[in-house]
Amino acid sequence: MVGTFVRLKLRLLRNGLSLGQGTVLFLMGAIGASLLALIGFTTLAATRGNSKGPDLAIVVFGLATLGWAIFPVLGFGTDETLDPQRLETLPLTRWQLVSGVLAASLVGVAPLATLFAFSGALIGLGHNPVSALLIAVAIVEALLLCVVASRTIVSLMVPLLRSRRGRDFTILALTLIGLTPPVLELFATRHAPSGNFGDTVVEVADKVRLTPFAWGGTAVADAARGRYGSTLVLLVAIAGAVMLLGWIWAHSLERALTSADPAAPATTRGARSGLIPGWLPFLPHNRVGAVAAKDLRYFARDPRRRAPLIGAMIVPAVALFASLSRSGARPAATTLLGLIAVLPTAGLTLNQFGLDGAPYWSSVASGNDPRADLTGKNLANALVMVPLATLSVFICASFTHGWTYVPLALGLSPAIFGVLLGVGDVVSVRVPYALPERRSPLAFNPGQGCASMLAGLGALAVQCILLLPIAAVTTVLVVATPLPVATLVAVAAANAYGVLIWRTGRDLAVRSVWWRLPELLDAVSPRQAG
Amino acid sequence: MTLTDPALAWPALTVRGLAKAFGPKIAVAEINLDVPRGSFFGIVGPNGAGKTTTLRMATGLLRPDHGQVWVDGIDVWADPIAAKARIGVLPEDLALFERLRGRELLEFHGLLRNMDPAVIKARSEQLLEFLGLADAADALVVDYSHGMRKKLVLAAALLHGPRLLFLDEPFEAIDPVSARAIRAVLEDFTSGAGTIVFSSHVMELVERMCDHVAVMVEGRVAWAGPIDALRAGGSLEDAFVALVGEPAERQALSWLERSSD
Repeated sequence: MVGTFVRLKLRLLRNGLSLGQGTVLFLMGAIGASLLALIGFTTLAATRGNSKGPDLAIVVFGLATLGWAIFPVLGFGTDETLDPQRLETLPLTRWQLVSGVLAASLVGVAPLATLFAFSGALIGLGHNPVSALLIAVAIVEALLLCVVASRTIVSLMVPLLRSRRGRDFTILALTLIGLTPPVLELFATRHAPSGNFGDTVVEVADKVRLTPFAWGGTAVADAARGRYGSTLVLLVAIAGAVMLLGWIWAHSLERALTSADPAAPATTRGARSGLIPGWLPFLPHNRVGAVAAKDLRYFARDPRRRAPLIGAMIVPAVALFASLSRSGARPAATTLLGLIAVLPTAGLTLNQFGLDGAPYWSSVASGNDPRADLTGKNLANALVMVPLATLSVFICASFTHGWTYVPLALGLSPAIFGVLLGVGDVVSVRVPYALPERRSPLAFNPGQGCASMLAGLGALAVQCILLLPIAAVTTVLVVATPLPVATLVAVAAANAYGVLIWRTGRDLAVRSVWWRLPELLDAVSPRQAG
Repeated sequence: MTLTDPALAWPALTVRGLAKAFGPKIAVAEINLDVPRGSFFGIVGPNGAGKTTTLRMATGLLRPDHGQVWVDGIDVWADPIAAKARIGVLPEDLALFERLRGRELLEFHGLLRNMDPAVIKARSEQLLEFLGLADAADALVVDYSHGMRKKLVLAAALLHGPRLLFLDEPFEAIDPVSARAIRAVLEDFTSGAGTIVFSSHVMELVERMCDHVAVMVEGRVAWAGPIDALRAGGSLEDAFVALVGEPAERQALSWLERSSD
C-alpha cells in the first residue's frame, strides 16, 4: 500500500511537470526550495568550530518546522495527496491510509530540500561518531515531525477550509500574518538591543529552545555540545510528539472523511437592503450606479478584493509613518507625502474587468455599455481611495503638524486618482487577464504570464510619469507663492488635468473595447478545468 | 425599433452560416436555424455537439468566426444594443456575482438594463416569490445551492420582459421541485407569445416541453423542424439515436452480469 501511494505521488509530480503552466510553477517552487535548502545547508555546515553553531541550528530547525506547519495551509489543494477526501471511497484501513499518505508526503521537493538543509548540521556539528549518530537520528526525527505536523494541521483545518466563512477568514488572517513582518521590523529597529547577528541568534535560540518547533534543533545542539543525556531525552520527546500528532492526525482524518461539508445557511433574516446603499444617495439608479454599488459591495464582502487592498495600504503606510516618526526635521509640507501611501492601490485599477471575472457575462449580455461599466468601476474605486487618502493625509499631518497643508493634500487627491484611473482604464481593456479561481486561500496566479505583468509594471510607470506634472506644478507654486494661493491654483490646475487624463483614458478604453466585449469576457474568464 | 416593425415576418431567431472553431476543433460548422415566434425550441445533441457554443454566439457572448444571427430581424453582431434588449440569457456555467444577495443581484441585472427602479422592485418580488426564493432573497448568492442559482438567473433573465429567452441546460442538476417551478414560469412565458430556445441532452424533457427541435451532431444541425415530424409516431430518443447513430456493436460486459447473481 505504501508503495502504491509513493508511486501515485511520483506520477502526480511527473504529470504536474508535463503541463505547460504547471511546469513553470513546479520549477519556480523547485528553484526556491533548492535555494532555501542550500542556504540552510551551508549555514549549518559553515558553523564548524563556531561556538554559536548549536544556537544557529536551533534557529534553523525551528524556522523550518514552523514553515512546514504553516506552508501547507497556504497551499491547500495544490498537493492532491494532501486532500484526504480524494481517497475517501477507497476501502482502506486507517493505518493503510495514514502510512500511505505519510510515505507520499515524504516524497517530493520540499521534504528533500528540508533533509538536505538539515544534513548540514551533520557536517557543521558532528564532532565525533556518537554526536554524529545522534544528530543523524535527530535530523530524521525532525523531518518526520515537520511532515506529520503539517499533515495534522491540514487535516484539522479541512472543515474550516471547506466552508466559505472559514476560507474568507483564512484569507484575511493570512493577509494579516503577511503584514506582520514590516510591522515587526518597525518595532525591531526601534528596540533593537544590539546590531550583532550572533548575539541575536543566541538570544532567540535561548528563548525558543524548548518549544516543540525547536526540539529537533535543540537535540542537535545538545549532541554537538556533548550533552548526550539531554539529547536522548529530546529524541524520545520528538518521537512521542510524532506519535501523538500521528494519532491526532489519524483520528481527524477519519472525521474529515466521514463528516459532510458544512452547509451554509441559505436563508437569512435582516434588513431588506437594496443594491445601492442608502448612505450613498448620490449614486444614480442606472447602470453606472449599479456597477459602482456592486463593486463597493465587493470591496466589503469579497476577501479576494479586500485582502490586496489592505496589503497595498498598510505596508507603505507603515513604512512612510515609520520614516516620518524617525526623522528629526519634519517640514510642514511633508503632509503631502500622505498621498503616497495610497499609490499602491493603483494596482487595483489595472485589471478592473479581471476582478469581475466570468460573471462579467451579465454585463455583456445585457447591453453594450463599457462606458457605463468603466465609469461605475472608477466611481467605486474613487469612493474607496478618497477616504483612504483623506485618512492617510490626516495621520500624516498629525505627525508633521503641517495642518495648513491638509486642504492642498485633500484637494490634490481626486486629481491623482483621475490620473491613476485614466491609465488603469486603458490597461484594463488592453491587457485583461483572468484571476485564478482557487479554493486555496492565497490566490497565486501562474497563468497571469509575463506579458500582463510587464504591462502592469509599464502602466505603473506611466501613471507615475503622468503624475509628475502635478507634483512639479504644486512644488513650484508652494515654493513661489503664499500657501493659500498655491492651494487654490494647484488644486484647480491639478483637478482640471486629472479630469482630462481620466476622461481621455476612459474614452480611449471605451473606443477600443466597444466592439470587443466578447473578447474581453473571454480574457477575464478563468479556463474551466477539465 | 422602426427597423423591426415592417419585419414582423421575421422569425424570432434566424441563424445563417454560423461557424466557430477553437483551434483545430470545429465546434459549430456553418449552421442555419429558424426559430418561429412563440415556439418552444429545443436544441438537443450529445455532449460536445456545439449547443453551448451556438447559444453563446446567438446571445452576443462569443464572437463567431463567420455567419449571422438575427433576433426579430435585428443583427445581433451589428446592432448589439437593440438585439440584447430583446433577449434573456441563462448560461450554462452560472458564473454570478455571488457576493451579492439574491435580491441585490436581481436589482443589479435590472439596473444594468437601465430599468425603472420601481419596476425592478415589483417584478423582483414577484419572481422571487414565484420561484420559491423569497426566503433566501437576503442571503449571499455564494451560499445558494445549484438549483437556487439556476432559478435566480432565470429570474434575472426574465426581469426586463424579453421576447426571446435562451436557456442553456436549464434542468441540469435540478431537483424536481425546482424543475417544476422553472417549468411553470417557462410555460407562462410562452403562453404570453414569448419564444424560448433551450438546449438539453435529456430527451424526455425536450419531448414533453418543446414543439420544435433541432438535433445537433458534431457542430452540424442534423435535423430541424416540428418535433412531431421528427418523431413520426415513435419516441424522440429513437429518432435521435437514428440520426446520431448508435455506437458500434460491443461485447457485453459479461462479468457485470455474473456479479449480480
